[in-house]
Amino acid sequence: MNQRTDEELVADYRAGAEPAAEELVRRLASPLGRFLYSAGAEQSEVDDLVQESMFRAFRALDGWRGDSSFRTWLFRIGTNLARDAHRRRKGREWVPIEDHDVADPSDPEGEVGADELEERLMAELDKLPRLQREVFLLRAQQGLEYDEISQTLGTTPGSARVHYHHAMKRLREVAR
Amino acid sequence: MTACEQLSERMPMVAARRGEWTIDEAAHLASCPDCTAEWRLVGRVRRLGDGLPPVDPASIALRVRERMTAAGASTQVIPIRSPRRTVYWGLAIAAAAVLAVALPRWRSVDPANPTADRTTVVAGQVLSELDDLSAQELAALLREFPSAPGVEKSEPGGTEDLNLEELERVLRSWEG
Repeated sequence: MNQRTDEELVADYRAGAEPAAEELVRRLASPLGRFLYSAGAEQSEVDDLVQESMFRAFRALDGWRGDSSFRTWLFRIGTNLARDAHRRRKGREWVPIEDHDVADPSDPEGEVGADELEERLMAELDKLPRLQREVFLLRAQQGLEYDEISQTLGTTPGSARVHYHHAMKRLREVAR
Repeated sequence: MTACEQLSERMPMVAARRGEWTIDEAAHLASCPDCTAEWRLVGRVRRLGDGLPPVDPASIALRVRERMTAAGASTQVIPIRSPRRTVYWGLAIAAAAVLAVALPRWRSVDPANPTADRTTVVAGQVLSELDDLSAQELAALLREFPSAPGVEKSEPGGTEDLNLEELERVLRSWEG
């Protein structure tokens, strides 16, 4: 069965088909939530951020020119909201990894549990510069292409590629 | 590009099931510690947020719809310009154009003072006064001006016979 694209669903919604909006939410809410959480949003604020992103995206559909995918546009809105929320919260600081002792990736027990690995990964992600972290997550977690990442974050594809590989180099040790 | 770099570029897409490893790539992955670590990391990053409470798309869609309604944003297609506004602005532009062309000429033939230089009337000073006029007032103004002293009935180009669309097209051409 042919699945309608996000852009086709947006067109359906603009023509008055309410279920198209729900389908878009069903497709995109969870990936957006995971991305925002991984990028530093508090778990307690993820739901609100996703809802707010969706609301703003649907409300401003007339401003979406269609030169980027709806998903990219939605993630851009979500990223900006998360950044604003972070600035308001001012609880966590994104500090370059050089300013910290890198956690020893070796496991003295010879085995690392999944929860512990996730905690360590989240801790290392926190230490990355914001843009580098966002690029890394959009690529590794969401599977976006570099041009989509550049549209989402307002950078260039070449710059996104460099950020991604820098982040990968730093984080790879966590998975060893 | 080395084999490691090639694999690194493809990992997010393969992890997202938008591609598969070739036999050669799979063999390299199995034998290269760096690529193995990177592949494991991509897998972990994709699972980040597994512990988040599941998103309820129907609930989010409902809340978004409620907020859209509250914000006065219709979910139906809204014409960019309503017919009433189109008529109003068409008339406003027409009145502005007629004033800009006709008023200096009308004033330049003032029989009370035929030698006075009245052509320095600045159209912009007149145009701002149109802002508060209703559509009816603008229409009345348009009807009056062709009969003003010194202005031929056909000035500024016989626009009275044009329909709204034609009138707007002509006005746009005047505006360059």
